[in-house]
Amino acid sequence: MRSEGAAKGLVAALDRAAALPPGNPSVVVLAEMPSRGSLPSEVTGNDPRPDGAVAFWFGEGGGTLPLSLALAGDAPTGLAAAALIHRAHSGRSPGPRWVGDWGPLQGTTAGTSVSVARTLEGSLAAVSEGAYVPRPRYVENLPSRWRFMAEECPACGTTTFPARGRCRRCGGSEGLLSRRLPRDDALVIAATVIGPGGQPTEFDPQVASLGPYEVVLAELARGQRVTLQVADAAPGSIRIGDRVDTLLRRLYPQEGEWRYGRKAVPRRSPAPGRT
Amino acid sequence: MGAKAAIVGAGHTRFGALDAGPRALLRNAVDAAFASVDRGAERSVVDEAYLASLGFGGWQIGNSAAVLAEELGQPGLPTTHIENACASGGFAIRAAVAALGSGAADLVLVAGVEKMTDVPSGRRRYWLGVSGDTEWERLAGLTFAGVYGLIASRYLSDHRVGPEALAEVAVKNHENGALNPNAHFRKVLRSDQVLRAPRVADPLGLYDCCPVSDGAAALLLARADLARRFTDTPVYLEGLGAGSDHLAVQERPELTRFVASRRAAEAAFRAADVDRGRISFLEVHDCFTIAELLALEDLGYAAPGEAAEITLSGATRRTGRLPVNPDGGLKAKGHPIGATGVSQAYEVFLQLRGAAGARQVPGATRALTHNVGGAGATATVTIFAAG
Repeated sequence: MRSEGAAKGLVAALDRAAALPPGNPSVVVLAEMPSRGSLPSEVTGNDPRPDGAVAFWFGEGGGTLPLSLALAGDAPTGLAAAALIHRAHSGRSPGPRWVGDWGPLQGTTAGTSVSVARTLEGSLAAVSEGAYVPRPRYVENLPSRWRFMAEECPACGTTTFPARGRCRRCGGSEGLLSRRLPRDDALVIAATVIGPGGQPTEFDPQVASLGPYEVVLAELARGQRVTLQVADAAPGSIRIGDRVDTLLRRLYPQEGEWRYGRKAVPRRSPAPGRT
Repeated sequence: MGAKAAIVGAGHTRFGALDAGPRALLRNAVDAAFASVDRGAERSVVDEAYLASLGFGGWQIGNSAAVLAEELGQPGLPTTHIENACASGGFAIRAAVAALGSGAADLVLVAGVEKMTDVPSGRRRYWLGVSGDTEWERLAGLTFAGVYGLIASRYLSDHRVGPEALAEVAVKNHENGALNPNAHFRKVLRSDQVLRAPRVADPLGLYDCCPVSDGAAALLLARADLARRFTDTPVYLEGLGAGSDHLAVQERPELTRFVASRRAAEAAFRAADVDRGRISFLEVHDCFTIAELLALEDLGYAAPGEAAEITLSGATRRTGRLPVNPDGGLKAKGHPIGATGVSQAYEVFLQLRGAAGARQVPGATRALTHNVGGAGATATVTIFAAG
C-alpha cells in the first residue's frame, strides 16, 4: 500500500543521492502515476534543487489527470527513486506505468527491479547540433523568461517585452525602466495542441512519456504577449479567452542541465470581478 | 512602370522523396531551364547566379552557392546564397532583378533547392524548427506547425468559421496537384479525410500540412529589353515587393494578418500599376491550409474572415473566378524549402505561355506569386505578365 512513509523515503533517497560524488552516469526515470496520491508537497513542489542534486517535477492537476513524475540524476539515484515509486504503488491498481525510451534493465535497488530510461547524455546528443538556444543566450534572457521583466521607455512610454535594451517603438536605449509584467491572470489569445510528431526534437522525451502538450499565446498585460507551454491540465482544456497563471517549470535538458521557463497553468482562483 | 526583367527559361525537377541528391537536383533543374529557352542560351553568358536554399539537414550550410556555379558548369561565376527560410526563392528572384536593374548583369540564373529526406525523421523535425523564433517559440515546444496552429486557432475563433474551410484548401490543392506531373502528392483528398486525420497542431491535422519534399527549380532571368533575344514569349516581372515582420509571433499586435505579406503586396501592385482584378491566378504560400486563407486576405482579395467563405464557394478552384495554386501549391506539389519561391515562378512561366497542360488556367495573362518565410517573418510578392 502506498504510504506517506514511502514517499518520505523517496525524499530521503533523493537527498542521499544528491550527496553522491559526481561522475556517476546520469539517467532519466519517467513514470506515469495514476494519481497524485499522498506524496507530500516537498516531493511535488517544483523548486529546482541546487546543481548536482536530483531535480524532479510532478504534475499538479488533481486526482483525475494522468500525472507524471520525472527524475533526473545519477544512476543510483534514479534506481532508488524508481524503486521507491514502485514499492509505494505495489499491489495497487493501477500502479505506475513506466514509460519512455527504456534501455535494458540496469539493476535493482531495495529488492525491486526497475528499468532505467536512456541516459541524459543520449538525449542531449540529439538536440545539441546546429541551431538551438546556446546557454549564454538562455542565461541572458532569464529575467524576461523567469520573471517576465520588461523595459519601459521613459521617452515614449512604450513597454518592450522581452527586454532587449532597446525600445521597440522609438528605438531609445537611454534610461529604460525595468518593469515586471504580471505572472498570473494572463488572457489566452491563441491555443494549439501539439500532437506526436509536431514537436521540436528536444521535446521528444517529454512527448514519449507524457504525450501531446498544449501551447498557448497569452497576454500578460496590454500588448505584451508570451508563448507558453501548458502544464497541469489536459491538452486542449485551455481555450481562447481563458485566464491562466504561470509557474516556473522544466523545459528540457540541454548542454548537461535542465532549462527552466514559465508554463501556463489553470487559474488557481478566479480573480475578483471576473467570471 | 516598365518591367526590368523577364523570365526566358525555367526548369523544374519532380518534387517528392527522391533518390537524387542536391547536386543532381540542381543540375537537372538548371539543365531543364536552359533546354526551355526557345532560341537557346549559352551557359557562358550567365553573368551572375543566386542559390535559394535553407541548407536543410546540414549537407552544405555555408558557401553552397559555389555548388550552383559548379552544377551550371561555370565555376568562377559570381554566385550568392540567399536564405530567408521558405521565402529564400522569392528573395533570390528579387536579388536577380536588382542585379539586372542595376545594369550589372544581362542574364542571371536563379535556382532553389532543398534535400529534406536525406536525414532521419527526428532530425527532420529538428530542422523544421530552425527558422522560427528559437528563444521563445521553440523553447515553448513549437515548430512552424505549432505556430500556424496558434494562428489557425485564433482565425477560426475570431471569424467563427469551422475547420471545413481549412479542409477545402487541402481538397482543392490536391485536386490541382493530381494534374501536375511534378507534384509530390498526386492523389485527391476528401474533406472528411482531412478533418479526421491525426492532429499535428490542433486545429491543424496531418493533411493541413505541406509535405517534407526534395526538389529544385531554376529560372533564367534576362534584362527586359534583351528578353526577346531568347524567346518570343518572355514572361515579364511587372512588380516586386518584399517585407518583414517581428520574428516571433508573440511580438506582433495581430496574429491573423502578416504585415510582411501586406507590405510586399502593396509594393508589388504599386510597381506593376495594375488592379487586383486583372490578375488571372495566384500562386500563394500554402505551407499550411490556414496560410492560404491568410494569403487571400493579406494580398487584398478578401476582407478579414472572408477568405474562408470565398474558398468554400469554390471561387479559388482552378475553374473558379480566382484560381489559387493551380500547380497544387505547397500543400500537394510539395515544399522543398529553398525551391518553393522559384517553383512558383516556374508555374507562372508555364501558365502565361499556355504550356501548363491539363492544369492550364484558360486565358491566363497575369499572375501573382506570394512567398512567405516561416510564419510571416519575411515575404515577397511578384506580379508577372505574359509578353
